[in-house]
Amino acid sequence: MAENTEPGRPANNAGLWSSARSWLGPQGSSFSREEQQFLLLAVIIGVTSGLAVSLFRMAIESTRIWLLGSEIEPGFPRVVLAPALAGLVIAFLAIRVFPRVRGSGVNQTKAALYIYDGYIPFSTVGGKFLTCSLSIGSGHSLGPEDPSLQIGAGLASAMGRRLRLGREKVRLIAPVGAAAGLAAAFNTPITAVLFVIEEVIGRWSAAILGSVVLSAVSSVVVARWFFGDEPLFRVPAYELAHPGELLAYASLGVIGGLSSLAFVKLVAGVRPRLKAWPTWSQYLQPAGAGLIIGFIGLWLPQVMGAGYEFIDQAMHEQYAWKMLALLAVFKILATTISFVSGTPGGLFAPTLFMGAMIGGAVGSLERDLFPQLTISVGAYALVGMGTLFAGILRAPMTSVFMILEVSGNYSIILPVMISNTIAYLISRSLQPTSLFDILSRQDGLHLPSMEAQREDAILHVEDAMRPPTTLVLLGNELASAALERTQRAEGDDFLVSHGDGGWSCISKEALTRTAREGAGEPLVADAAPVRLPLLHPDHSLEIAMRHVQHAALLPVVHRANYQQLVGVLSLSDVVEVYRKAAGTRSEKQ
Amino acid sequence: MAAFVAAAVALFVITSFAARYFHAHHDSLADEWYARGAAHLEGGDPEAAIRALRNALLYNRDHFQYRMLLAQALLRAGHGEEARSYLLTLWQREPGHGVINLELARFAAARGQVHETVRFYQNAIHGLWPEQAEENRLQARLELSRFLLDQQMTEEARAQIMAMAAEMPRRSDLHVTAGNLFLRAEDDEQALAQFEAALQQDAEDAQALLGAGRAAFRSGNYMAARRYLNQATEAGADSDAAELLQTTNLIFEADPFRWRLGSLERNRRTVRAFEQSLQRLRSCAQARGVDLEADVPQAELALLHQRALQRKPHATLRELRRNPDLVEIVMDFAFEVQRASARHCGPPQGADLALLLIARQREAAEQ
Repeated sequence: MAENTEPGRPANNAGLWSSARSWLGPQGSSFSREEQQFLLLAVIIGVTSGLAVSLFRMAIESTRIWLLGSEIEPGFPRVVLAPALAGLVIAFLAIRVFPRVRGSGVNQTKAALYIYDGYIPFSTVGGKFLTCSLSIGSGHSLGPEDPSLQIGAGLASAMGRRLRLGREKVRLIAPVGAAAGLAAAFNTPITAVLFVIEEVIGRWSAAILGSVVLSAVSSVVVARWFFGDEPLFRVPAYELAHPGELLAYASLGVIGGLSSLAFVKLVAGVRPRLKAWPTWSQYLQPAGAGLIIGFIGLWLPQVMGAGYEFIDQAMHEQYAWKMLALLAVFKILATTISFVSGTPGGLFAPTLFMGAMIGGAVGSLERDLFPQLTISVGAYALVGMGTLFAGILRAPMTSVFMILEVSGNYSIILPVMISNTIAYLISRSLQPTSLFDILSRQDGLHLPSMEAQREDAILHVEDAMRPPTTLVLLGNELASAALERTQRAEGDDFLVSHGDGGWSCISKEALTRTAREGAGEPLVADAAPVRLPLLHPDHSLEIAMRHVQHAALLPVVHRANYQQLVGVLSLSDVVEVYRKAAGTRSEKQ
Repeated sequence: MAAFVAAAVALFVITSFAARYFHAHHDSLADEWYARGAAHLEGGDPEAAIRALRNALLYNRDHFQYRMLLAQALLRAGHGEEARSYLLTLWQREPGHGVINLELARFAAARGQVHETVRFYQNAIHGLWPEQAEENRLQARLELSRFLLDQQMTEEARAQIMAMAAEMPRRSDLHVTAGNLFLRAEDDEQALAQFEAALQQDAEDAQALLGAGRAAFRSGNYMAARRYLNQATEAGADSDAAELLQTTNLIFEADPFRWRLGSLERNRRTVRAFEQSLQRLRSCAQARGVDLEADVPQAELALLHQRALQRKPHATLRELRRNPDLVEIVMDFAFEVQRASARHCGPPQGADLALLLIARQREAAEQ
C-alpha cells in the first residue's frame, strides 16, 4: 500500500490554532461538502444494498422451495429437471437480455472500477438478481455472495451516476456498494470491508475506509433486521488441548493448499475450452451443467446449491471422513461444471463448502489415527473453510477474519492463521496467478492484480537518497563567506540549514549574485528564503516525486531531529532508482 | 438524495412485506417437518425422524427444541457421536439445561472421562429441567453415584449417595437402592439405616430384608443379620440370603464367646474351633506344598503347625475345664491360624469362614 503521510514541517505553534479552528469551525471544515455527501451516500447505499440483498436471499430460498421442494434432499425427477430447465432459461437471459451477468461478480466489479469508470448498468443488477436466484435456487453449485457484491456495486453505481458525482467518486462508489452487498449476503461486515479493500480496491485511505465501513455496517444492520444476528454457523466448543494439534492443522493447510490448486487448475483449464465451443452451444451449456449436477444430486444432493445446511452438518460430525472427502471431490467437480458453463453465480459458498468437507475429512481421519489428540472435527471443518478461501480466492487476511465472524469463535484463531497461511503460500507458489486474475484475462480484461501489487516492493526515499556529503550552508552565515566555501566544494546546488529545523536550497549562481549585489552584508538566508518540504528515509518514493521536481536538492532528515541531515535527494536520483526497478521487473517477467 | 431516501423507504416496505411472508412460510414448513419428526420418533422410526428434523432445521436452524429432538433421535438411532456434537452445541447455548447435561454426562461416562462425567452430572443435578425435575435430578445423582463407585472413588460416591438419600422421597424402592449403594460404598451403617427405613414402609420387602441382613452381617451384628436373613429367606429372597444365613448360623454355633453360653458348650466349641483350624492349616499347607513335618520349619504355615502341635494337649475338654483361661489362648491361636490360612490360601468357606469372622469381630471389639 502507498504511504499517505505527507513530508514533515517544522513545529509552528501559530499553525496549531488555525489547524484546530479549521477542523472544528464551520468555515473551511476538514470534510468538504462533497465528502460529507459521499459519506451520507455510503449509508444510503448500504441500506439499499442491504434491502436488495435481503430480497435476493429470500428469492433464492423461495426459488429453491418452488423448484426442488421443501426437503433438504430433493427427490427425482425434480433434482434433475430443475437445474437443467433453469439452465435453459438462464442461458437465454444471460446471452440475450442481460449480457453482463455472467461470472461471479467480483471481476465485473473490478472491471467497473478500473476500466469503465465505475459504470455498472442498472439492468445488470436486475439481471444478476434474476439469473442467480434461478441458478442457485435450482441447485447449481454456486453461491450468492459474489452476486450480492455485484448487486450492491451496481446499485451504488446507479446512484452515483444519478447524482452526477465527479469521475473519481463514481469510480470509487462501486466498491462501496460491493462491500455493502457482500456484508449483507454474509452477515459479516468486517469480512466484507477487508475483502473489498484486499481484493477489489487494493488500497485504503481514510475517505475510502470510512465510506466502505459505513456502507457495510448499514447493510448488515438492515440484513440483521430481517434475518437476525446469529452467526452463520454454530460450531461446537473448541479449545486447543495440546500444542501438537497445531501440527495437525498445519497438515490441513498443506492438503487445503493442494486442493485449492486442483480447483483453480480445473476451472482455468476447462473454461476456455467451453468458451471455444460454437456460439449456439452457449445456450445449452448451463442446461447441460444442470443435468450433470442433477444426476450427481441424485446420489449426493449435498453438492447442490450453496450447501450451508450441509456445512452445518459436517461441523456436527454427521459424516464419516470418507463421505466428507467424497463430498469435497464432487463439490469441486460440480462447482467447476456450473461455473465454466457460464451460469451466473458466486464461488464463495462453494469454496466454504469444499473447505468444510476437506477440513472435516482431515480432522476425522486424524482423530482415528491419533486418538490421543483431542481433535474436534467441527473445528477442523471450520478451519478448512478459511483454508480453502485463502488458497482459492487468495485473500489471506479476509480468510482469517471471515472464520472468526461466521463462527463467533475466537479460540480458533491460531489454527486458522497457521492453516490459512500454509495453504496460501502453497497455492501462491505453485499457481502464481490467482483465479480471479486468470478469469479476467480469459475474458480479455487486464485488471490489476491486487495480489501482485501487494508483492511489489515499495520504493522508499532511502533507496534513492545519497549520503549527506555535499556542503551544507548555514542560513545565518554571510553570503560572501558561504560563497567562498562553495568554491572548494563540488556541485552547483547546496542545502541551507536555517537552524530551526527548516531547510532551503540555493544554487551557486544565486549565492554569487546575492553576495555581490546584496545590500549591506547579506546572509545566505536572504538568498534562500523558501523553505523546502522535508523528507524522511521511510517515505515512499511516490511522495518524494511530488516535491523533488520543484527543487534541485531535497533534504532527507532524521525524524527525531530535523536539523540532522541523513541524506539528499534529487530528481535524477529518483529516476535512476525507478529505472533499475523496471529493469529488474522485466528480467523477472 | 431525497429521491434515494424515498426509494430506500419504498424498498424497505416491499422487503418487509416479502420478509413477513417468507418467514411465515418458513415457520410453517419448520413446524410441519418438526411435527413429522416427532411423530416418527414416537412411532419408533428414528431414521425417518432424523430426516424430518433436519428438514425442520433447514427452516429454523437455531430452534432449540428442533435440535434437541434431533439429538435424541440420533441417540435412538445409534448415532452417538453425531448426537454428542449437537448436544455440545446446544450446551453452549444452554449450559444449565438438565437433559443436555445428563446426555453429555452419559457420553463422557461411556468414554471413561471422569472429570467431564462428574462435571456434566453435577450440572444435570443442579440444572434446569423442563419437567419432572425431582425425578430427573435423582436419576442423575444415582447415575453419578454408580459411576463414582465404578471408578473406585468411594469417598466421592458416598457424598453423593448421602445427598441423594437426604433429598429423595420416602419410598421403599428408593431406600433399597440407596442402601445397596451404601453397601458398595462400604458404609454399612448408613446402608442398614436405609434398609430399615425401607422395611418401615414394607416389612416384607425381600430385597430390603436381604440388604439389611447383609449390612448387619458386614458390620458384625450377626444377631440382627440372622433375624433379617431368616425373614428374607421366608420372603423369597435369592440364594444369597440362604448362603449368608448359613454362615451366620455357623458363627452362632461356633462362637465360644457368646453371652450366656455355658462352660461346657464353650469348651466344646473351643476344642472344635481348634480342631477345625488345625484341619484348615493342614489343607492349606498341602495345597501350597508346604512340608509340615520338616525338622526345621521355615514357612509360616509350618511354624504354625509346630505351635499347634505344642498347644494340642491344652486344647482338650479336660484341660479347658481345669483352666478356663485357656479358652482365650486356644481361641486366639485358632484365629491366628485362620488368618494365616486366609492369607496363604484365600478366603475360607463354611465353618472356617465363621471362625475368621468371629476373629474379626473380636479384633474390632478390642479396638
